Amino acid sequence: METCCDKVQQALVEAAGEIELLGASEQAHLRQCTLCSEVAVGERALHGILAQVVPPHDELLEQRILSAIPAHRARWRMVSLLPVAASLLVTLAGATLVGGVPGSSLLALLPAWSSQGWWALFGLASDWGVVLTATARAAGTTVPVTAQVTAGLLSLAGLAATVGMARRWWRGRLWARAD
Amino acid sequence: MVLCWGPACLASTGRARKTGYHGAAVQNHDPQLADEELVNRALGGDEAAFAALVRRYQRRLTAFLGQMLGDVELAKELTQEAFLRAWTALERFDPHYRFSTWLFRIAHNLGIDQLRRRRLATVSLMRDDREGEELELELSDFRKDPLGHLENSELARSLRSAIDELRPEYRELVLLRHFAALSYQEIADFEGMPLGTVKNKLFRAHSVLRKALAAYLG
Repeated sequence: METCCDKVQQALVEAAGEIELLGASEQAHLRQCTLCSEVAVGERALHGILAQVVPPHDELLEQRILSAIPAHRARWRMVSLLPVAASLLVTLAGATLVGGVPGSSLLALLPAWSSQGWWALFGLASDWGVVLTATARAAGTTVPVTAQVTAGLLSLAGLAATVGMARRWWRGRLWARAD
Repeated sequence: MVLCWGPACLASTGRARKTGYHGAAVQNHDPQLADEELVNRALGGDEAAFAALVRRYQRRLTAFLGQMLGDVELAKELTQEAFLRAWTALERFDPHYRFSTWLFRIAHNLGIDQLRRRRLATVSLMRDDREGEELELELSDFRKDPLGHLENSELARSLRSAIDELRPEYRELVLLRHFAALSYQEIADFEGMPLGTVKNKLFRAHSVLRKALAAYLG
């Protein structure tokens, strides 16, 4: 009988004391057992009290939370951009050490319809690439092969980190919405 | 420059493709929308979807943290912090899990951190009196009643005291069940324990509560 009472009382706790929610056998037990009937009454009353513990809706708090998001987003954008920049730097450093950044050869493949402004910008990048390539070639004569291999691996890791970080940053990007 | 906002942007995200969401622009959300759907929309930049999640969980988070910390104002601050952290980490949310348990896990961790800090602060408030006896400074006014909204203040006090006196493992389950309003299954997921164990422990906890509050149960 005790085990049966435990089962019924556990069911009563789950059903918030509502007898109608119990199975037929449990209801039949309740009709015969005074102890379980008392538990049913107690559970219903307890649930009635516990149903009041969640405070009413707080409009002010909701507004506070929602208005804090833009400032939080701005902070988050800046903070999450730092790893992107850092990993990009690592990638560039590694690529430079290995053999230079491809510059003019890629630029030559640009379609002819690019505007003058873009040409000027890419020309600048090309000059920068030439300088980096020359530096890398000079470094290649002095830096040992193992260091170059390490730099290559570093470059790849940096590239992977850049992609990963940029994906995370993408959600809070500046042009995502007009706020 | 391409503007990315709303469903078009959402459709370009990996998760949107996985769940097949291609709905129309949303501003007013159906209260019946599943959490996961709202998360998907929020990920696409729909602020109204995130606001709907805030509306849905704000009261329960405040109640849960309020009872955990015994300070409703602090609970409100941490509720805000929990939502901001959830917003930041939304992309990392694994849709295989429930949003509710994930959000309450964030809040729970914030609450634990706060309790740890408070314990340190309490230690620092111990001092020696003139005779060299160690004194603990009065902290009772530090607590702001998380059940202050109940009309019957005597009942509120008794209920708080009854919950505080529960064994910690029971207390946590009671908080999750009645203050966070999580289902038994959600609690089992949250605690990482079998559903049967959750049911059994809550049964025991209710027995203790019924005895402690017998005067109010008729």
